[in-house]
Amino acid sequence: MVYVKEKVPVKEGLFKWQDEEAKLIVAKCTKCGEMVFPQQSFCPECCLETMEPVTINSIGKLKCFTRITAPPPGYKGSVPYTAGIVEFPEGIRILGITTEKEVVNLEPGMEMEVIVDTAFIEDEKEYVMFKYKPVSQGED
Amino acid sequence: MEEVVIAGVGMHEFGRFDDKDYRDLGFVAAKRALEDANMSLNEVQAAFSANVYEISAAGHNVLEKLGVPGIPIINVENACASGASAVRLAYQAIKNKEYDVALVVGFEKSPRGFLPGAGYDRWQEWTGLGANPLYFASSIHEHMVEYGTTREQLAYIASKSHKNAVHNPYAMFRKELSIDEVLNARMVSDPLTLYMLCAPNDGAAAVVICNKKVAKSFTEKPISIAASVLETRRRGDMFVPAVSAPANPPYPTVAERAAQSAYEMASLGPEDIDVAEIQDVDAGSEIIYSERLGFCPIGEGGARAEAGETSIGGRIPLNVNGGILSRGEPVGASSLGQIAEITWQLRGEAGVNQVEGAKVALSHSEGAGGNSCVTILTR
Ligand SMILES: [Zn+2]
Repeated sequence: MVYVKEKVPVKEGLFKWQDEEAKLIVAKCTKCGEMVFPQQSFCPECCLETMEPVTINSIGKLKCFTRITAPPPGYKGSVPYTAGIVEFPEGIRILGITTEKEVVNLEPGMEMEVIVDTAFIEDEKEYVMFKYKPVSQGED
Repeated sequence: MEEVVIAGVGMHEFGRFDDKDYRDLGFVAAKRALEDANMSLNEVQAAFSANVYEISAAGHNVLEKLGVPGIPIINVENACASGASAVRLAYQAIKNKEYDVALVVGFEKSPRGFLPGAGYDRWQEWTGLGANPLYFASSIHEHMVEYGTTREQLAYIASKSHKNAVHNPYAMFRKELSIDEVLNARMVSDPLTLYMLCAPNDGAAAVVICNKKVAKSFTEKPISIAASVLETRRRGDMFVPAVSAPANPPYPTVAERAAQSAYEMASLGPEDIDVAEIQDVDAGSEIIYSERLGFCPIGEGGARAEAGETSIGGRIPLNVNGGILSRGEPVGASSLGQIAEITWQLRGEAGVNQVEGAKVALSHSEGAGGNSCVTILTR
């Protein structure tokens, strides 16, 4: 068992997770409604500093996915892993890692829930990351 | 506005050359292009170099071996579209009478394995989202879900590429591969197997670009640049390293925009193109881009390829010398390699893979940062 002193997100501002339901934080333009993840202050369409952070629905539809077998540069997790694009009802598509190691557990169009889970442990810190978990899958 | 032509092209073979550095590769390509144009560096008024992974003044270091004539040298880095972006700078300068002759040289010694430095934030790399094949695989998987594109169609494209490359002395992979061999190869990023993805490698290519009036005194086989376009992505293109995109953007993709601008500039349409080199960084990309460049309706790229429409002798032959899948991708040189290949096609010098009577050809390169270049050449 690895000793863990604290839990930290892989990057601040990507998701809400402490003491509340996991939700992704996107930036939304107060002028045109454009949304961006991760959040940023300038709107990509208006090119003005008109964005403010909002959380989005924690459930979306899986559009497509893939399975990676060899670790890419800088990766600190284990292989294989799967990743996919989820489309949220607010009208934004976001790329993320799924909880599944095999593509047979994934179906295009299936509902995925945003959860926050361990990404890797380093220097006695547990780094946490948002992941997509199939909704149909029971709690385990 | 002056008419702009290609007066000479040259390539160093694409592959792995452990005993050569980038200077050696770039030198060979530039020397061959100058020889092809019957020029020395003394006739060149400006040089543009294209490279991604060297540090500083790489173009200066490459050209030094060919002479030190004191001309302006500009180093261009625009990921996979570096070479075509550099061509665009030379094209614009000559069109606007700034210069009469410019040399563009691209060269690369690629790092081994997955290419680093595609612009990912460190949290993307740590968590596994910083992987280029993930983007390529997701794009084609969505295409499969939406339009019924099949794994066999992807394998067909990889097999076609390898068959075409057998006769290309500049390609890295020159061995035929059957559809089964492609399908049964190691799965890298589902649905893409090892042979459906290009390999980064070493290589160089160069192009001499010239005012048409001036070119007459050097070459009898000038090839006209009818269009040279660079566009970058808007939010709808979820390209490396973007993490999100709007679900239904009300505007075309960057490849569609670049193609549209190029067709307008050339007063031509996709139906006029006789042969094209397009960014087949993976087999799925060839399908997707064949649609976005207007060569077939959206969703039909896989089926049309499988029906032979994009093979030599087909309606619109694509990547007839093996493309990036078989040449490999020395990033800074890659799109100049495309331009050299289509120049040979238009001159009728492409040998076994010559597309008979080719008059109009297109090169398309697209990559990190969401750069998309379309260049159209005519004879
Ligand atoms: Zn806005």
